[in-house]
Amino acid sequence: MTRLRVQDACPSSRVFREDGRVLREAIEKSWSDGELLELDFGEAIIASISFLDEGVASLFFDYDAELIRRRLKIVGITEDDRRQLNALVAKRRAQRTAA
Amino acid sequence: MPRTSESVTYLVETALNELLQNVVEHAESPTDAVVLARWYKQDKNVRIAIADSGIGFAESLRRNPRNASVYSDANLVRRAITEEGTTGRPSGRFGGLGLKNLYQVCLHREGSVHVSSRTVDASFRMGKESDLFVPELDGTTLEVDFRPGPETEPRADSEPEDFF
Repeated sequence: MTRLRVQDACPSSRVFREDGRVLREAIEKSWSDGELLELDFGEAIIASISFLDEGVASLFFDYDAELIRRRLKIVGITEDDRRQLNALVAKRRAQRTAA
Repeated sequence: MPRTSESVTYLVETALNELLQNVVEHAESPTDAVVLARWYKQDKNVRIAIADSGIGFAESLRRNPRNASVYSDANLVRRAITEEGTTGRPSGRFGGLGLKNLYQVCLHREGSVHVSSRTVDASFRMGKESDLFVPELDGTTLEVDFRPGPETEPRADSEPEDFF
């Protein structure tokens, strides 16, 4: 299993959409079908819709959910961020279905 | 059924992040922004306002060519608050979500969003929208208020299934 720490991927800021884009690129660079990627939020509070959307949820617009389930596991995320992220994931999945 | 409650601090932090992000990314403010936040204990209501002296909300949205055809500043601001995908960022595919989400937080918690920016002065709340035209004011003031805790207004959509 490969581990990617959000803090390492985005050391200076985890608020802006641009920060999220950096995280998404790091995820896409690190994941594969051969090995599960563990994305570790380190229990840090993100509280940014833009960052969570661009960094993780936007993947669900471009990739099949089952592929993401095979490749990506999220750990160390706070309950509030997990709830926010799941709402954003549902939105992007619905948009992918509609597209 | 009200949705599960996010913690008060999380809602406030999310609101502040979205409002500040808006200023940093779009306002082009020559001075710093001013943030005012207050907790009204008796009404159990949070009010947060952020003011800048930048180019104005509608002008920042017009930096994106996709918004160029929207003639009215008030309509453009209304779209940025109430519809997903209206953003001043000309690049990227996923912008224009933060303020819409913040609007939803306010809408479902007995709150509102108020925008004063140059020729636009508009309030958005459940079942009511009002706007009027005022003499030009520099910059933008965005104000939100809501009651932290479970949502009090039902949503049309169902609770999303958790993926993570």
